[in-house]
Amino acid sequence: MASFEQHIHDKPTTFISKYIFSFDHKVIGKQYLWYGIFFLLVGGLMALLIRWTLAFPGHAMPIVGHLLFPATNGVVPPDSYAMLFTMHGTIMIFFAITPILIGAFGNFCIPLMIGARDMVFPSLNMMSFWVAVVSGLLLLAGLITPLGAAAGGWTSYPTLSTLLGSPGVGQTLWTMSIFVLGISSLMGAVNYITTIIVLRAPGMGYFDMPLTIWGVWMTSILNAIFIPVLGAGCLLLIFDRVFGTTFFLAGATATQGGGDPLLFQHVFWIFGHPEVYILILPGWGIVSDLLSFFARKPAFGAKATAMCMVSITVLSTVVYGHHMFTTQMSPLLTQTFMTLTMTISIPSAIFFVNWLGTLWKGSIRFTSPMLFSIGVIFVFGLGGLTGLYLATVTTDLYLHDTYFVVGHFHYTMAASVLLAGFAGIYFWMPKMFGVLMNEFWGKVHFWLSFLGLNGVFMGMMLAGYGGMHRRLYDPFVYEFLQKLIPVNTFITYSSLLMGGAQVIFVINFIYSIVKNKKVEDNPWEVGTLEWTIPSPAPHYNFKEIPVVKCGPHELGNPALKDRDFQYQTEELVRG
Amino acid sequence: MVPEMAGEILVEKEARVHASGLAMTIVLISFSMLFATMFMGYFLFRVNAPVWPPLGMEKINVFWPTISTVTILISSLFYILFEKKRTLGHLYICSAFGVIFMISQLNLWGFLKTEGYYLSTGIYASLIYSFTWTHAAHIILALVLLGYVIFKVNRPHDKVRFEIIINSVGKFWHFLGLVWILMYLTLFIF
Ligand SMILES: [Cu+2]
Repeated sequence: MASFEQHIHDKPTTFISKYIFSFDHKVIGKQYLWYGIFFLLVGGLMALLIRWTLAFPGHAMPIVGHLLFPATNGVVPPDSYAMLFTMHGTIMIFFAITPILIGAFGNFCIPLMIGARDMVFPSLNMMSFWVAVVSGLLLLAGLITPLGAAAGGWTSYPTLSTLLGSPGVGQTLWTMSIFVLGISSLMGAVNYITTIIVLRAPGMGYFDMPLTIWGVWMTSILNAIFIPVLGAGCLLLIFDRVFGTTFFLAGATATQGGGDPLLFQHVFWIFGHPEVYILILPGWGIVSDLLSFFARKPAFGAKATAMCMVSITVLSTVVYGHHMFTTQMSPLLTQTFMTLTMTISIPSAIFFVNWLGTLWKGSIRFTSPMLFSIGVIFVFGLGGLTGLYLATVTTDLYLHDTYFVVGHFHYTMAASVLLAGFAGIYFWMPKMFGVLMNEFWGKVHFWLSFLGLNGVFMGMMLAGYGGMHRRLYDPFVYEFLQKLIPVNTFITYSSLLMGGAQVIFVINFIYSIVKNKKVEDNPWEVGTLEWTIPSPAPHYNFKEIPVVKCGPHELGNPALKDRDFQYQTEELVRG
Repeated sequence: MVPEMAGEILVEKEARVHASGLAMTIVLISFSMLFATMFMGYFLFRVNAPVWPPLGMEKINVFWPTISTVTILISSLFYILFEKKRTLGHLYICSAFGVIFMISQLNLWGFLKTEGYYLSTGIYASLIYSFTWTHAAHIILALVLLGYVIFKVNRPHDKVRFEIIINSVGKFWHFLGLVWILMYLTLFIF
């Protein structure tokens, strides 16, 4: 399938067509970035409120406490606590990570890195963003309903999420919001998959694509297949809540043939496990590229890395049962799911070896994007390895629903994805806004975040191993958990450090955009297609559609004379 | 460079048809996952129930569902004829049968009510309602799209766009027919 050349339309002139309802993938990418950063701050603030409550139960949160909870003198009340952790999870997963990693980087990078002028369906792209806005508003609207927003956990298990558990409108709005967001994600996914297949520049085979594109591609495929599964679950949940059906209610609450609360768990995790990979794959792709770019040598085993992404994508669809070991699943099934889950270690290990192989004997440039990328190796390694204990039935029975789980999935999803996201922002800042962020403060931002997040998530795993369950309002009413008070205080101080570090980022980010100090076109000296054009990327990216002649990671080739990298548009130099 | 330009535009048109076909296939894979999840729920309920339909419920009369099946099949058939011969008459007949399908669904819901099956009367009725409502919502969308095709047939400005619309709407319409047949067999017949 040959690629084709898209027409160049005139530049939009009005403010609205330029910045609000724009068809330009670069503008839509930035819109997603702002959207995601906004929700990241909201979700982060919620996390701090949760942490404060756990470390200092019964004490008023300084500054914001009195503002948010005047009725209880600034102390977070139990029902609000449930609401906070529910909304924190939902916002971070669906409204911060998804828009930043998939919405912003997907949109921004795909056409630029494959040598296209825009997405194949620009109007679908625009609709996708505005549907996501509607979804965000629906979610936030829950906060101002009389009984508050959803409080059944981000997993929204029935019966907590049915009318029995949460009678308020908030849960209904939550369910609708997720359904609408699913529509937005689907529009995005269709666009991404098709664009990558039909719009690659002439000469660009699949293995000539940067690994970032591989990651986003696999993510989009998983999105297109599994978002509708959650959609169906949400639909049935809305039926239960609005029309009085009993799909998810059993026993005395249901009459004339009961429903089954477990059905929702199945549906949720059939979606939910692939969702983990939906979130991490773009991050893996970005890191795989950046490690090579800053180690100044080709990505070790790039083809194998890409194939590992594919096999992880495939395997991720058949392992969901590991979330449900404690639901009286038959031992035959638990063992099957355990084995299948363990199988994912094989491609993951190859992945890791390839990352380390890329670093091996490289002439590493420790720029801030590189620091963040190396950070990802560390935190994802930890996150992945601790996952083995949760995939093993015998250990999971003890660790299930404890803070160990919380620590584990924050290492994989929060820490890794956040660090990969920051790496991407620091790296593509010149391409997005034509400026570089301050390197010194970027590094400070990295080290403080890194220390902070390890304190938080390592602490959580300790607390969980010590027996502390998640979602408890005040764990210390149980005597055996009181010895965990110091650990929890430590986690909270670490989270304050991590939160404070993000202030540095926000100031650095905004300041560099406002100051607008122009940077040269290719500050990182990298050869992928987006760096063959001026920074920031011009209207319609490529005046002439580039012709690709070599792979994306041609760095450190000894046959190169005046520089240590070559552009993808140049014939591979041979010695 | 004029001849070469013309060649490029032609390639772009072919590529656009290809891209849209691909996109529609992905959309339909997504929709099938939505229905597949609902069918999974249905089978779990059915397998776990000691008797089906559940105690106190009777299997509902298949008269209206059968009418629906026949109409949607005829409608799909006429769309295929329209795709082959591009005659407006076939498209009108296809759309008319689409509307009749919707009417037969309304009749089915009316019949269910007279029999005392409401949305909240147990899992059996809930399943039938939720499946048919979800399917009908897609049918309404598809009918709007068929209307759009009729509108476009009369003003075929952009040949390529027109091709794309006919192909995509056709795929969607046949897909909905297929889903209905699966529903007919599982919910009403067996
Ligand atoms: Cu999982």
